[in-house]
Amino acid sequence: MNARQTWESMRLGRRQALRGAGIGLAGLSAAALIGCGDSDEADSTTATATGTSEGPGAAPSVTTPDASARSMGGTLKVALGSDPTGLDPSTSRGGGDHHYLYSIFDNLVNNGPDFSVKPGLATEWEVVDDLTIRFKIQDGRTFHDGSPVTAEDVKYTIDRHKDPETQSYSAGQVESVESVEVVDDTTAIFHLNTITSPIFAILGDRNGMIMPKEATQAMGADYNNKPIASGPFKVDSWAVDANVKLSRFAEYAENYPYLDAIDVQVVPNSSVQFANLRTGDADVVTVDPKDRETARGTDNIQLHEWISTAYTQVNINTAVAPITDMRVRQALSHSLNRQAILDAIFFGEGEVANGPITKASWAYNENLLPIPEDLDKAKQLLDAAGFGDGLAFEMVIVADETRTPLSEMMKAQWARIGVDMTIVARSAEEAGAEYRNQLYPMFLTFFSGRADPDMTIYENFHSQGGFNRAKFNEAFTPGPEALAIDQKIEAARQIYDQDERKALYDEIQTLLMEQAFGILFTHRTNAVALSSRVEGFQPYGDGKYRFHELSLKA
Amino acid sequence: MSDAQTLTAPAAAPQGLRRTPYRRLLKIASHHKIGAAAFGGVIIVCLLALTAPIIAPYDPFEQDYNSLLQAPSWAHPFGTDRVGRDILTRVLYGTQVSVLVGLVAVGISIAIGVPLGLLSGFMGGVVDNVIMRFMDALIAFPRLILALAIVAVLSPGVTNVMIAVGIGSMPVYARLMRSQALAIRENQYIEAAHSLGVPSMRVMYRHILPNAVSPIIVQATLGLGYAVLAEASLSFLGVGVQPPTATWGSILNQGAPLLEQAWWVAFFPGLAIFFFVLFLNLAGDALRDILDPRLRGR
Repeated sequence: MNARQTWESMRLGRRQALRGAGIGLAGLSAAALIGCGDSDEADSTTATATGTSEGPGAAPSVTTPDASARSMGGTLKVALGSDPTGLDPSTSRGGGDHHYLYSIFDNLVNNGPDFSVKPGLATEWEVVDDLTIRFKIQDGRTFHDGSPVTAEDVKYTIDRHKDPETQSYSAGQVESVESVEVVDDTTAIFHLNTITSPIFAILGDRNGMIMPKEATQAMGADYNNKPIASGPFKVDSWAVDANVKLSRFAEYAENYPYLDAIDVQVVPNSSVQFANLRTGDADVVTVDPKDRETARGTDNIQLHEWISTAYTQVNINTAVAPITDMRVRQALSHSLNRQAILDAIFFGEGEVANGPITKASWAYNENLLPIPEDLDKAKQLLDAAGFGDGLAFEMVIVADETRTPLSEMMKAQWARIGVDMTIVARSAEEAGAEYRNQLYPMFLTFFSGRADPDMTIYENFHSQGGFNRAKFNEAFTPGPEALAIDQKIEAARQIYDQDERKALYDEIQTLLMEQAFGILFTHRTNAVALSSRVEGFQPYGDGKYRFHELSLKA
Repeated sequence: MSDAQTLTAPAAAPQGLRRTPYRRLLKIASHHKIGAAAFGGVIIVCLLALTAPIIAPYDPFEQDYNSLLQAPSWAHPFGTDRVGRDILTRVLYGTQVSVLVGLVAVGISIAIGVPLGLLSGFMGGVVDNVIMRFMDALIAFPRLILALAIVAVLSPGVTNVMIAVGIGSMPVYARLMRSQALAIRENQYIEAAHSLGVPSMRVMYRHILPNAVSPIIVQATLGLGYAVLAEASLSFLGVGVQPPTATWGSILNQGAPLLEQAWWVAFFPGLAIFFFVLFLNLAGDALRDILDPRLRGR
């Protein structure tokens, strides 16, 4: 099964689910209004999930064909490549954290497999006007410590992200939420300071994972290790570099979740992960590109492949010399052989990147061509920038089986235009810290992508974005080009019409690539392999796993 | 210690054999065939390291995108790696790093460990206590863990790997030297030197050190094997020599995840490590037999 087929089958699955849609209630057509997907579908999607909800916390966002057919119990064995960077939604920052967080936390609203809005803790919402959204939290939802989920907790969650002392990576994402008004125990009103069309997608990500006010304040720094939340699973233990153990939150709902426990083993070596699947030591593993061919030919496993929102890139800090000069960045971008990188590093899995938005999203720019390899042009640009005699700088990388050889390829390719790049190989922690501290102009790290193009583009390329490290540099003042792009990013955020938004994102992506604010290599595809006893796997467009939706055959 | 040894020990070698060192070497070699072969192996590896730029068929950094992960063939006897580099070439260049790191690391161990051990054994008392308790503290850590910690503090790189491996092994030499010094300082010729008014420093360097050299040489040979292995381990763990420099450990590191797809990437550097460390250990064993006075002349 190739990626496209899987993608198609996923869409089919959703359409089938829609066909069985219950009576539309709520009727607030928030999804239609915010312009995610075409309006009819989005509307009935909201209705579907709401309609099938039974009692408190019934399997939100799950489109299981027949819940009664699923077996209860069992421990799901998962092998993931890394620990979470933290279990506190405010301060964790890794793209792999969601695999853990989605099972532990409930979001205010959820992002569906195709990025449509699905109910979460809030099963009803009303877009009162452009800047006001009223959320109604389902009655009877509780946190793991037994306390009820209230509007006060929703307000606390957003306030916590916005508080500079928290140093939350979500601060930029919830920037446009001016305040959260607590109407009563289960009603919260979001007041926005500007139209924010991706607000639902934002709340469906880490930013909208609701934290209990009392417990979070009481636990302090400990919250990061063993958070209390309202999701289907509780954290039993987290042993760094070893495992994370989750167990069923019994009061979550009747007959949901299906599993008794989720046992995540941290297995850094992707070959070992895959071997664990084949020997029965793991039920769920991500399949590295190098193992895809083997996986396709392996019996007794379930393989799902689908287009990812993730892209591979080198993170650049435009405030650190010598890449403050646009011509230098352009020269670096033009001197890369991206096809060779795709073939050698990613074994041909995926595509050469043309921009930060992949085919998984409606905002993919099908007319944008990848930056071509053009050494003459690159040399001219370097010459014009005053580095005709050569240029030397250091790039920090997270040393691993993918990024180390990739950095070696970049070094060799850049050497062709007289650029001498020194690779600084570090652990993930050190690399992140040293890059944050402005020590290096570049950091080889990838981005997993987000549900809405705004989240991907704002976070990485707006001068105030959470992953734009330039903003922490005292010497940094965004240039005219950067400011022009900032304005467009902000404008795109305030448009509801999807076609209009897309036109603007097309333009933004073209500028980002042409002016080399990003140096991208490839778009990725997701692949997950499951043991034959796993049921209910649903590929999500964002590539993050929802382990809580799975069950094991009896 | 017997009187006879006391008299002969200060001299470098017995008189009778000095006339024909070549024949003596042959005689020793015939007694220690494996050791001789191992020495030959070590010498060959060192020669390969020296001549790598001449004999290597390719540039160690040249990436040929038309031959990614090629299995061993006539064009690439050890195959190619993920980005199309020739593995034979990289293993040959890796030899340079391995030999260099090994020699310098052992040099650092000896340069620090031996004087400290000598001082400790000769002076005794408080000096001995202070130095040896410090060494105990170092030895309490597994050597590789200690090296890892040192590299973590100093940041990765060739020089720092040498320092880390060198310091990690230093206590071994200090302890060895101390035990030698303790035994030797009880000899009558040391007493004689003292009574003639020879300064302590001079006694240490002219009378004790030369007589303790044999076990140090043996230890250094074995230690060289350890240092090569330690560098490979550190590079394998990704904290050693920085990419794209080729070292046996780093090639192995890049090959390990690809074992199923391309066994040759990890296999050949692994083989190189195996044989070089084996040669060094066998050579060390042979040296110990040859230099041990109790076995001498057998």
